[in-house]
Amino acid sequence: MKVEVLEATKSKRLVKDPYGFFTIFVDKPRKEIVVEFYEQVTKDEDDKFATGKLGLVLCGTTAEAICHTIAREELVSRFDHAAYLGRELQKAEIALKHKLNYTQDEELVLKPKK
Amino acid sequence: MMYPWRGEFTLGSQDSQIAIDTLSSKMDFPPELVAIWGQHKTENLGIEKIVANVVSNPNIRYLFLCGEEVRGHRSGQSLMSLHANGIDGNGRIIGANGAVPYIENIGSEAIARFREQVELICMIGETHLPAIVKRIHEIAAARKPPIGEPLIMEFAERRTSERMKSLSGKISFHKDLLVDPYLDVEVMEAEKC
Repeated sequence: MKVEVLEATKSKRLVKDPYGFFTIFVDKPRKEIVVEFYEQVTKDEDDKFATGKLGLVLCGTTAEAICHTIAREELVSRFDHAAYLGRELQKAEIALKHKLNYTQDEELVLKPKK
Repeated sequence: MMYPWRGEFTLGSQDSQIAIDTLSSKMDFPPELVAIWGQHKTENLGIEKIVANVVSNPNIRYLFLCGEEVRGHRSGQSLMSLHANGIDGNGRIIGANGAVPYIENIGSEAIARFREQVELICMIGETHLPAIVKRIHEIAAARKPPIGEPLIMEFAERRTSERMKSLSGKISFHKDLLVDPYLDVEVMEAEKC
């Protein structure tokens, strides 16, 4: 049996999901991950720039539950978008559990061991 | 005090008349002096969140803008433009230099109230905490009365899986039950069986 081995490479350009986009943050006082889903709103003629119309707010404590909810609600249309959300939500969950600072799209900074 | 639009902000004193937007800078303030503070990175959604939360607290009469401006987004300049000029008929903040300075999620009532409610204290570019705290003390001395009633942006409760009405993607294990790939089980309606 011959199986191909493919070296992983990062995509060079971001393709927007026509369904919309998400903002993710950790609400520390309420100990929850909050995900805001925005539907794309295009404001210029060449469709280049967009803002968003708030469509749904999801709250939870685990990446798994939030990912499942996003899938059930059919809020994504692209595989790369779904994979991105999985990565970000897992970072947010780790930050929530270990009281770290989470900022979307930024590297999670782990506290050094004392 | 619970602000209606959740975010990555820090809460201080309920009685304070001061809110602080630190733009791209991470800063902390004495909680007894400030009602709410946090970063603000975007010239559209970030501004909407600030406006929605400020108008929900009539005690807030001053909004400081400090810290480093956000490159490209020009979030501070855009917020100042909203306060000075409002929006045009297409939702664009008049005079804003940010990339996409459009308001989509808050109404004209909230914008008008925001413009009336708060006085902006522009310290954009200032990151030296003692200088900002000194200005806070000066402003706090000129106390204004609260403005009217809270203007609250409402978030409706939504039943989970409201959109999962179709049978597609579900597996039938039993004549009366459907199971979707996430193991949510529901009773099938008689006409669907």
